[in-house]
Amino acid sequence: MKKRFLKAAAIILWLLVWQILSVIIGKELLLPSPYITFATLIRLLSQPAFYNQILYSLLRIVAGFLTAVISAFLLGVIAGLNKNVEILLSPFITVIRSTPVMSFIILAIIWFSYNLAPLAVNIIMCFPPIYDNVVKGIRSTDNKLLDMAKVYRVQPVKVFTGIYLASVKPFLMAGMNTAIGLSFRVAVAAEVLANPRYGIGTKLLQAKYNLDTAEVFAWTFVILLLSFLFEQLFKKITEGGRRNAPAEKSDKII
Amino acid sequence: MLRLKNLTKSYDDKVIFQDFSMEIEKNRITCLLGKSGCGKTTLLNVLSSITGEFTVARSDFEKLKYSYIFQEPRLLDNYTVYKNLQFVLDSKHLSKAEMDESIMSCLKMVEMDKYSHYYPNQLSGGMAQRVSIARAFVKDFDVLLMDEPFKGLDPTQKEDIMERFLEMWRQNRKTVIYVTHNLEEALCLAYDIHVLGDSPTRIIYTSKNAYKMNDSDRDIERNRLWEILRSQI
Repeated sequence: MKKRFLKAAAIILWLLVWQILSVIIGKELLLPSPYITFATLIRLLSQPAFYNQILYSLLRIVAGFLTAVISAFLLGVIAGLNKNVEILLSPFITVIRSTPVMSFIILAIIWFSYNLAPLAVNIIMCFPPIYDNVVKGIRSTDNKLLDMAKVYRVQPVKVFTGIYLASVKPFLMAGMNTAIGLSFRVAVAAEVLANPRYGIGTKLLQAKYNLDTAEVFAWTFVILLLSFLFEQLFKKITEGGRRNAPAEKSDKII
Repeated sequence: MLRLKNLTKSYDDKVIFQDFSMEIEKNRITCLLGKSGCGKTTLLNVLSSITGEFTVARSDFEKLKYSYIFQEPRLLDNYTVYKNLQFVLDSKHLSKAEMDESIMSCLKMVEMDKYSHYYPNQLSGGMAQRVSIARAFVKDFDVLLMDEPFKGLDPTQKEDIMERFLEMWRQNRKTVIYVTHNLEEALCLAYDIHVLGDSPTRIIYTSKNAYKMNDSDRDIERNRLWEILRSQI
């Protein structure tokens, strides 16, 4: 309860700081007040096109994220089990990790359509954190359990689901958690540059061209809110998984 | 009789086995007794093919089916007790009812049937080890390997688990190779006892039919084995 109160107090404090700063600056173009920002947001909410922009962005974000999860999981498992595959993929992973995201966005715009470029960049940028974690998860599998399965001649599919998957799961969750936040930032940034017909990034750019800073703030708020909701949804899903997992040591029978 | 002839195995530069040979009586419990680090576990790992890269002139142990009770239970934390036993069973060749019956009867033998839906981290060390014994018997095997499975258990738990193990073993009387450095455990369970010496590992003494001995002969044998083990330290 106390924690919730402190969190709410912190939010109010920063809103106040924002309000004071906007009064001191006194130029809506540079820093609109919280009131104007929320009024703009309400105006946007009343427009049917607003939901279209969000829907298209969300489609790119979710599709990109899921494609990255599936491909990074499969390749991460193979690379974790086979060092040669990891070596083979390492230049590709290093290039993705060190190349500025803007380079990828520009290349994606050249190679793909304006609509697909944000999706492609999203997949590429979300891939490394998930892949790295899956490889780590496979490598940290308990060899003693693998030896046990070997002696009992357990079928490979059961070894994978019973031993490897259990070892990978917490690593995969950590990788997905990192990627989910990244997904929002990357997809919107790519939309700003690619400028597809529908997308939050497109609206951000249009607001900038119209010198409507309050709308830029309103759209940024929408991105933050959506990103927060997705992270919470992800947490709920993983917590649901944990509820089915073994009970804690406190339930131990002596 | 199961024979192993001229086994040679090294770890890095250290020779563990050099032309090591042994004979194991089928359908008996044979104990390999020796101090810690003399190569007992390595021998079990060689027999069960957990460890590769060794040479052997002849081995009757190849292509046999094994069960293994390890020092620690080695249960899957994310699976219930029931699913841990199901994990080692070949689901293709067993119906659901057959599988259920064999799992529950093995759990009953170790008095763990009531805990079939529990997860390993909810069990005490002794209970988890009882589950690992049930797992060893749930699957058909030719040879059961045991690597100090009672180590670390308190005396009451140990006595209880050893009793249950013997009860289960008497039902099928398959070949058991059991390694320990505990003389009393060896005398309590084994029919034959091979004492291992190291650098490289070799059998330095064999006590045949320990189980048939009367109390006074057993005391004499105990003292003899004790002296041999002491001379190894």
